[in-house]
Amino acid sequence: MKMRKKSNLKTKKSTENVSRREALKKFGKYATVTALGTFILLNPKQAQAASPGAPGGGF
Amino acid sequence: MEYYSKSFDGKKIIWFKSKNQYLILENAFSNLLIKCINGLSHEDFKETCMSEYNLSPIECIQLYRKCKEIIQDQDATSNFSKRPSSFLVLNYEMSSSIVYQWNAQRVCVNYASEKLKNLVHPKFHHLTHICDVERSIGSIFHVFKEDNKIVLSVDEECFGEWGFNEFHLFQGKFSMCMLNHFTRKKDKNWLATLHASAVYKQDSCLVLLGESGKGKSIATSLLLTNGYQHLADDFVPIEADSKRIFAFPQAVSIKEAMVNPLSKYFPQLLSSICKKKDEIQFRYLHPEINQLQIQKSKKCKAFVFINYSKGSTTKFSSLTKTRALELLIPDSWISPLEKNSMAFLDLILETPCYTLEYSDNSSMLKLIDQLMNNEL
Repeated sequence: MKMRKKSNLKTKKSTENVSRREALKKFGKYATVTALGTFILLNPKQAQAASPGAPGGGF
Repeated sequence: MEYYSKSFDGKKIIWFKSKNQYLILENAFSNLLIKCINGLSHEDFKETCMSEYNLSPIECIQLYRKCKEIIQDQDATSNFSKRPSSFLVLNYEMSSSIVYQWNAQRVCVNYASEKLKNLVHPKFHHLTHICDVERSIGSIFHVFKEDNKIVLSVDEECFGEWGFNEFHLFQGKFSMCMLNHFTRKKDKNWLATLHASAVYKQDSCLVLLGESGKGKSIATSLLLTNGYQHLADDFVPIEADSKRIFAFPQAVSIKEAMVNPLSKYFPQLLSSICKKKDEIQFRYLHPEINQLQIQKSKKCKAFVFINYSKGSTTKFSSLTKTRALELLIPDSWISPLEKNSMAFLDLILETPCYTLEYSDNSSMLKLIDQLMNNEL
């Protein structure tokens, strides 16, 4: 019983694994614009800092 | 709007001066955004999107809105904290005065209490210099408490105030002020300070990065037993003119659990100052004094993002520049000057970046040796 459950799970998982190309085909232009409009915003620290885990607290 | 952009790995990184922010995006999106910044009209934007990228009118509108949001956000008033105005500190009673010497420069630090002294002194204890306080002192620091805040002043000019839960920011600023006074430089002379450790062999150094508790300091200590020399720990400065990693003589903090295994190499650890943070005890491994008196800078051979993971097999691989920037930028202070910011990005983009996960010390040491000897 357990074995069958496991193999079902596996089948389901494998059908969900689609390549990037297939995903683009499936979602068409929406996927293209999502990929095109993706960005990562990065903020450096505004001041020098010691390690947050560094000893020194206790106040 | 002031900005610059750089290309790498088929992407672009744009730096915005107003908020000192970095944006990594696809080349196509970056071209559209830059056109938008330079005043491209909605109609022309739509036409470019449709003809060059085959987007539908709705998608063009979505993308245009996204560009406008980014631009408006960068145009909004910067919320940089301003340094409080100067004031005199002569009215504050100080409990101790310590002179630190490095690179033939002396700094006298006056602490208003033992608690305040304990925030920074253990890391600089080995630089303590016995001398006539009134003579040959470069700068005088005061560390005191006012309105429940830690205040740092240098030569009677206030350099900042921090709540007690922000003591790591005070420690960072204190280190920066010490660095500037010991090297006779200013903030503008540095590209960045990294939350990292740096060791060197001959003329090149290795910068070890990673979150707190991922084993940077331990790896550094082990490398010191294996022919490497200490360059900096926890606070790694990069010099602007040379783009080289600069020495900073702050001690390496070692968790109590590692003191015994390391004490056979560093017996001084057993008698070093012990500090407690939450439930974890730390001791300090001070760089050798004879190594300290020389001002040093080394070319960075590689950035290695280290991760000690108990029971793991050793995994070493190249890191994409996007991932390296994602990890490095939020964890670093980067100079807000355009020239320095550009040089910082150049350094990261031209230097190899790796990840190293390990649990076995000897294989970690072997890998680092191979990396330094170009054998990988």
